[in-house]
Amino acid sequence: MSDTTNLGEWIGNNSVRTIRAQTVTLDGALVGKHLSPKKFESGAQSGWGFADIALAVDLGNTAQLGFDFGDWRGEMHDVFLRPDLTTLSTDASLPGLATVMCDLVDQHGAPLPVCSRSTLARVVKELAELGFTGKAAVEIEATVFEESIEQAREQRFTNLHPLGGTQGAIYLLSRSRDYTTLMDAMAARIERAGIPWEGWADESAHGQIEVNLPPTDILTAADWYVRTKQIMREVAYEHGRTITFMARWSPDQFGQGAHINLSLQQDGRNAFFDEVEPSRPSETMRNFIGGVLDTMAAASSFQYPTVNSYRRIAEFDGPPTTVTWGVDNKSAAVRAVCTTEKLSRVEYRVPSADVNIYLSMASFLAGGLIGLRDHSDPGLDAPSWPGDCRREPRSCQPASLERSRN
Amino acid sequence: MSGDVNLTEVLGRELVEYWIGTRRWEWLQFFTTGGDPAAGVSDWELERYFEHV
Repeated sequence: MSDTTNLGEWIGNNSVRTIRAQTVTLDGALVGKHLSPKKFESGAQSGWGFADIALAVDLGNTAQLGFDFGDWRGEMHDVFLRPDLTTLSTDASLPGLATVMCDLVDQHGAPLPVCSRSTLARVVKELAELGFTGKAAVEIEATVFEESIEQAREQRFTNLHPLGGTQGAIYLLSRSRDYTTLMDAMAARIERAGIPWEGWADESAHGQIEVNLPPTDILTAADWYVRTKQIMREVAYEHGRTITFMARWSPDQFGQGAHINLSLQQDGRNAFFDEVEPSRPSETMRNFIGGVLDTMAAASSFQYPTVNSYRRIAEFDGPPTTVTWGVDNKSAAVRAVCTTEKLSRVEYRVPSADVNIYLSMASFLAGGLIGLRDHSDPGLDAPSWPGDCRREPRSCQPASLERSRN
Repeated sequence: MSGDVNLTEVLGRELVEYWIGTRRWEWLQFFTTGGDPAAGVSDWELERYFEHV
């Protein structure tokens, strides 16, 4: 649905009793309101009042009034949740409920400068002005625990037991019984919410799972990421389990990322694919990667948003710690996949699982956009495996919390 | 982040400035509650992030 013309009919046909209007805070937390059909219809064009304090409290519920009082806050009046009606959908698992993703706008209908979703949409639009559209998929990593959320809260999230035990390694089907019931339920819920899924697997760390969704347009990929995380949480809780998307919940376990896979299309073709030399990046891909590398250190603030994010980026632990790229090289920050037109893409391996995915993608794309405009060069082609990977110690990412201050 | 002009131009000055403020705030909260980057994951981190990121 893209306009309000048949909204009442759509609500009636789908027996909707409640609409959940949702967006994210700067911390990436999904927030929203539950609306009656009447209220929903009345604000479908202008939006609904939303206290701006949602953007001005931290995850500990403390107001962050000391450092900034942006112009957008005015006199602390309401801001507005304006629905993107193209995202209106029902969830067959929750009869009567519909959800819609929203942007945050001011009383005049202008997007708030601190609206994460609008910021990503704006960068996508700038890419379109250069003649590119994007397809993206974000890898979702989480850890599931045997305890219920109530039990986990009581234990203050300590001494929890990862699902599947604390022995064994990645992909082991010997513990599939531990996972299958829960993951079948998650996959079914994801599907019934209108989000296609490609696969799930037991990952490297104990209790860790990865869920893969197919590539789609960039804004939808971000919407699917936050909606799928919410579904995974709800299903885990319903099954008496606990789940976390922390970047690293224990020093004894690998961390959790949110790798972004992206291709750009131009004139109906994959612009990252080089027809002449399919095993090498196209000029467009090189320019894009060049810009991403040039801005990587600065953008790392969006990729490592919390204190905990920095615990994930340890040398030789998997996540990249340097400004590097390579062809099909998973030790680099940017992995260029150059095979066929269908598969050629850039995998941005920097983001941790606790990112605000809209700002993570926006800053990644912004770097690529700058590279395309400036015809940036990423430097030497980095062949397949370490050693040759481009490393620039003088322009490393801030690989520790301490260094992130500078 | 604060020194990158190009990225700020694309993402928007108000967003970047506000974002930096929130990250400095996060850092301050960690250190004023006894946080130690060199130590293991703290109780503060678990309480703050486990359920909500």
